[in-house]
Amino acid sequence: MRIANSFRSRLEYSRFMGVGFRRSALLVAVVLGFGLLVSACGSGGEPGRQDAESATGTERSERTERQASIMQQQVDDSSEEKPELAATELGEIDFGHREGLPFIRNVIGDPEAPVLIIEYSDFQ
Amino acid sequence: MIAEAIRTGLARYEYRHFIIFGAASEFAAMATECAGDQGAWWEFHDAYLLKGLARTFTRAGSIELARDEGLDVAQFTKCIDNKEHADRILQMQQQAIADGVSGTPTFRINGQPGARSLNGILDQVRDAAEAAEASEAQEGG
Repeated sequence: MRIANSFRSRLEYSRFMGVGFRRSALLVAVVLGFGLLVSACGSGGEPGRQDAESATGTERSERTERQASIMQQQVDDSSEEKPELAATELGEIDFGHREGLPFIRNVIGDPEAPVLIIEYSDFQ
Repeated sequence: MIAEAIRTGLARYEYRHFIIFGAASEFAAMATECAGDQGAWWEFHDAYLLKGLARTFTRAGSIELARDEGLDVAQFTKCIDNKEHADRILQMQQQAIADGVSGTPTFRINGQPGARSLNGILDQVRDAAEAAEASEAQEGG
């Protein structure tokens, strides 16, 4: 049983390595192709280079905008995952003897007030 | 006097959990924090502490209270079942121990140990408020 498992895992390993090799070869081909393309653009005349630089600048700008948009989306997504951040806005107590006082969760009063009174307590 | 200091923006008051009565208290603290996610922190605080609603120290009781308060019960239940604020409560407990708290209620005024009597605490708050006002006036003038 153990030997069979060992054989199976070795078989899976070799299959994995085969796929990995094919992927690596494909990646090398893509990189080489891209390199040749860049070198061909670089060897053109002056106007061609200016066009290429201008296009590259535009692409860079678009890419930066896309990245900023993705980062903002990630920030938005991560804040949705944290429910404790949901109630961090200043509210106003509308009942009891504290009515009218501003609060954020367990803190009553202006968050910037210079005097901080802390009470440690237990509900029982 | 404390309420006045809070209303005028001189002081703020923060309630922190310090669990000394075991699992039921810990549960009440968790339920309060979960209610706080939906803006009902003080409703739960008052139900537990001021109204002494012992029935709400259970899961069923706290869910009933959440329903009474018009909270999203599914979100609240998920929060208490997953103990989503366990870290926050533990952090308060650790800070209390670091501050030398050994019983409840214990007050601290601007980081200094609070007096034992209410009058003593009021004096401390008054002194701290006056010091803050003087400091503000000095910076302004």
